[in-house]
Amino acid sequence: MDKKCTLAHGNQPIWKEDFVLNKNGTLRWCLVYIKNAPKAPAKPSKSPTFVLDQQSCTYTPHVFAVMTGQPVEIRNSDPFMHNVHCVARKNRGFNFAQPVQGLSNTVKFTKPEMGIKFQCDVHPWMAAYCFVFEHPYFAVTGPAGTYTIKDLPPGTYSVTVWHETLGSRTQQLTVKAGEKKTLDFTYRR
Amino acid sequence: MTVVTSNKWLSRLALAVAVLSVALIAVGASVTSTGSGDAEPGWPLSKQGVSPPLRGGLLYELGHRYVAGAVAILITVMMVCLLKAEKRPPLRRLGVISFIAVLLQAVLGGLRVLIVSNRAVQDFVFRATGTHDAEQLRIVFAVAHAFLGQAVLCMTFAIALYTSAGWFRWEMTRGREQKNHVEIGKVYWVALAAVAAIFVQLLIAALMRHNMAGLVIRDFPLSFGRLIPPFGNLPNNPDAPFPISDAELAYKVWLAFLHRTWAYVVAVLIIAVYFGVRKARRAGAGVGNAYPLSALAVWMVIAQILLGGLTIWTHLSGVDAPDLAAPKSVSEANALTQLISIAHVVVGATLLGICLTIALWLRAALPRAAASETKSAPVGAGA
Repeated sequence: MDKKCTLAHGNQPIWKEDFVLNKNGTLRWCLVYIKNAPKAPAKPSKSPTFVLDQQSCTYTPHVFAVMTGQPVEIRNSDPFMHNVHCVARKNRGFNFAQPVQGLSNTVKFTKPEMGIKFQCDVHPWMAAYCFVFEHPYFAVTGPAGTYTIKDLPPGTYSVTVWHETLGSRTQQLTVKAGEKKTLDFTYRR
Repeated sequence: MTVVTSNKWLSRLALAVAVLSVALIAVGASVTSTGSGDAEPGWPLSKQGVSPPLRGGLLYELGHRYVAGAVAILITVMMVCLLKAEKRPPLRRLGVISFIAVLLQAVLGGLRVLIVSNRAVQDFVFRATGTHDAEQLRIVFAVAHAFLGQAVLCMTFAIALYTSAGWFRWEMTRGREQKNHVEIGKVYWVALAAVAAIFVQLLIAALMRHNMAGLVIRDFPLSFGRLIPPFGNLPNNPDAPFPISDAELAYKVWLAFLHRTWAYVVAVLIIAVYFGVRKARRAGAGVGNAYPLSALAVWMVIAQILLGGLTIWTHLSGVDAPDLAAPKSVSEANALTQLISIAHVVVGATLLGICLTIALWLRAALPRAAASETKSAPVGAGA
């Protein structure tokens, strides 16, 4: 482990975030999205800038989703270098260095793509996964293991959950206008 | 006839270059095994100025560049020494070719980095090749870089052999030892076949490593519990975290299985070389140092197969249930697996160099008339 990283992390060990179990037994960093969602009602260019930060040698957030054309600002909040290596296949990948604290670069993904990996090759545990959709119907589970997808038009949908090590699960969901529904997913090991 | 004698310093330099070339292969393997190839996006200079910190992935990537720089400088010095002091034209040419090859190798290494990090280079290569997949091009450059690295290693081994004192001693005495050339002629061709087979194996290995297919078959020596993997029914999980198509999975399994199968072809050829050399030696033919080297090669190929198996076995022992949901590359594997895979690459490269050396000893052991049938004069024939 890099001493500077350990120091930046308050002398605490840095864990990979590929399997984070919340205190209530739920999973963090699960992406939930509508597989057969209608396209975005709003223009993607008006979406707010999403910030991916490198703090204490971790990517924050670890899993995120944006819409096509939405600006993604990548920051380095650490006082040492990270390289930002984006391994994309449908979109154009890149790799640049951010050697100084406070540097930021803004990128856009123009095509829908699943699981674009961001990695720092200097610190091999650092990884983040980006999902690009043409619609806004997605969410990522947090410390409570919950998610909320708002304003979904009435219809029957395939709802998929994705986890970095456990994979994907899909369930069907029908919603009516103004209706609130709860959909739980379970992984078994 | 000109009597060619050994140059002590040139011999030492050539040996040092050969040893350092093996070290360079080891450091290069560590870059791939740790997934550090893109830790420094700048090339040829670092994005962090003149003295970037050597830590994490930078240690491997920049370490590789520093060792490569040292090898390039030494190969340049060696070429100059060969051009000034060496009387054998083929060896002088080999010095120049190795110099050109190491320069080309540096350019390939640079392209491997810049195809990911530099838009201008990406655009240029996209236009030149007609493809727009930087990831595929990265693999192509990486495989070419790995392959040319083995070729440079072979050249350094050959120069080290031809400039060694042992070679000159044997050159002086071999006239009395040229017996039973029929046996030597046979085993010479087997040794050449072994060199070619190892080259093919290293190409397959480079393709496999850079396509992240090294651990796609998770058992060894069997493949998916069978002698031949069930190509029509591979266990592809569409719900895996990073699903791949059936065709891509089949391609990766093919590469991994071909690497395993071809390893046995290489092993059989090396064992055949050993027995061939032993037979020729027992029949009274002079084979130089080919005999002890062929015995060493047999032990190395056994070790190499075991190292290949250990790469799989240690990876399996280090993963838990969630990890089994998706195939992993070696760069995502545990540290022990990475270390073993590096050793596997180093032993493979050294085995290539040793088999080439055996072939060169045997070539020189052929009587002049037999050797000339190969259409070119042996480097050791003198000027």
